[in-house]
Amino acid sequence: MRLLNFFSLDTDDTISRREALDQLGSVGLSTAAASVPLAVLGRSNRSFAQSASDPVGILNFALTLEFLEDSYYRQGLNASNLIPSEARPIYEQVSKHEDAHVTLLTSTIEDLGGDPVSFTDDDFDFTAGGNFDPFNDYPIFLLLSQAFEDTGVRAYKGQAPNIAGNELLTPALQIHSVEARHAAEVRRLRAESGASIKPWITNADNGSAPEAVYAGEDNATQAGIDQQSLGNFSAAEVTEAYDEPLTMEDVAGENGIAAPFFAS
Amino acid sequence: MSDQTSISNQTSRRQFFQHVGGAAGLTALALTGCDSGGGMSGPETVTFDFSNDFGVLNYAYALEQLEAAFYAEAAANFYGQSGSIEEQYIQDLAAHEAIHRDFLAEAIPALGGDLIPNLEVDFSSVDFSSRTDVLGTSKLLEDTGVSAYNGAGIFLENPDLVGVAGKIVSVEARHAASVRSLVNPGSDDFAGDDVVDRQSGLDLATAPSDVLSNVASTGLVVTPLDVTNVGA
Repeated sequence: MRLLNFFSLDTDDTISRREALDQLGSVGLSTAAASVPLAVLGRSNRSFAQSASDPVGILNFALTLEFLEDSYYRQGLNASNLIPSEARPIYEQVSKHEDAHVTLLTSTIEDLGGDPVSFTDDDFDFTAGGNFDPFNDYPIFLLLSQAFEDTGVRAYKGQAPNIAGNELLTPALQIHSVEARHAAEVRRLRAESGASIKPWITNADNGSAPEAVYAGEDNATQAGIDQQSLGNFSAAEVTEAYDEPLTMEDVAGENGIAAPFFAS
Repeated sequence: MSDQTSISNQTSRRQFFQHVGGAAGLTALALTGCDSGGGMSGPETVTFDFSNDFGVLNYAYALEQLEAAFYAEAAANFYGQSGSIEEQYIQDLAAHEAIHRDFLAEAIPALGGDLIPNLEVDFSSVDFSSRTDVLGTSKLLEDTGVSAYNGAGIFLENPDLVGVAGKIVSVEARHAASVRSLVNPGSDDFAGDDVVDRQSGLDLATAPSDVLSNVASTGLVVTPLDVTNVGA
């Protein structure tokens, strides 16, 4: 079951999910500002971005990911003999934030007159069709946690240009950096357990997570400037120095990163 | 962790008025001497005009200059064990911040903006042989960087620049979390309640004028910094 199909199923009984599909689809088709070449960077094209964006659709996309993370951590913390005592303060903090993000995004969408999506634990399948067993296998729990956090960072980043100048940008950035803090901490935990990763993302190294989560993280050009040409910097360093965005389609599309984790 | 405080203090106190390497992409710091009581006039105030995107970019450039200069010093005088993971982290942070600085130094004029001068910094108050001192200063700089980018994004008119700022700020947040974990491992400090509001789950977003006040109060930047056109 793919996420966008999930949204569009006729048997799905909530109108809000169908509306979310429409919103996801419309925003996903809009031209991302990231493709604008360096030559026009100096000019403002805010009006273009605003006309191409759909704030409620973007917020429902974010809310969908927050529901996924919130369910994952709540189930993980409730699983017996999963998260070791030394890591519980970390995951309790992460879980607290994801829960707060769900509440905040839901109320923000309502304030805008939109219809917030809603999910329960039963809507998710964190085994991804039997491929993972995260609530009985701590290394797998950590691995998917890393994948979800790094995906979250990239997903928020991908939408930020679409709400440039919009009052929603600042809170979106404030969630985005929290997801990055989470990601760094989870990556540190995995490194402590022997994974060959650092809190920052080197090249497109996936550290055993699905490759799609890190596709494009090896980009070494920013605003048309080759970062290695700046000085005596390695490819590893210049890719670590920047996190890269993902599109809504990359994350929530039919073959998107999140798709396997929605129950059929 | 060895703590050769007296030796390091002598070293760091000689490092008055370091000029931050900038546009040329140099990571080395040029040192200039200053006789005590020599009547040296201070650097001119640098003002960031937030009515256009270049003011915002220069504001980011100033903060990246400060971070890059700090980590260059911290990496060159690492307090701990050579070859340790902690040393690798400090070296990585030095590289990342130098890349951000040098990128902005090239991008701002390439896009048609005027680049601010190199800032004068003063790390004489930092004992680089002290893990507590270095990580404490690092935590302050990283949290400041995150809250500054979060608070400045709304001033950027060009969506592409919002995208570029987003690529940088999440790396600053990774730094902040990691340094916080080095200071206080196994705790919730990586995203502590002092920076992430426990009710909303939002990280800090700080207004530019408040960021500059906070930076000034550290005493790490000699160049006076000011901001205009930041709205009501």
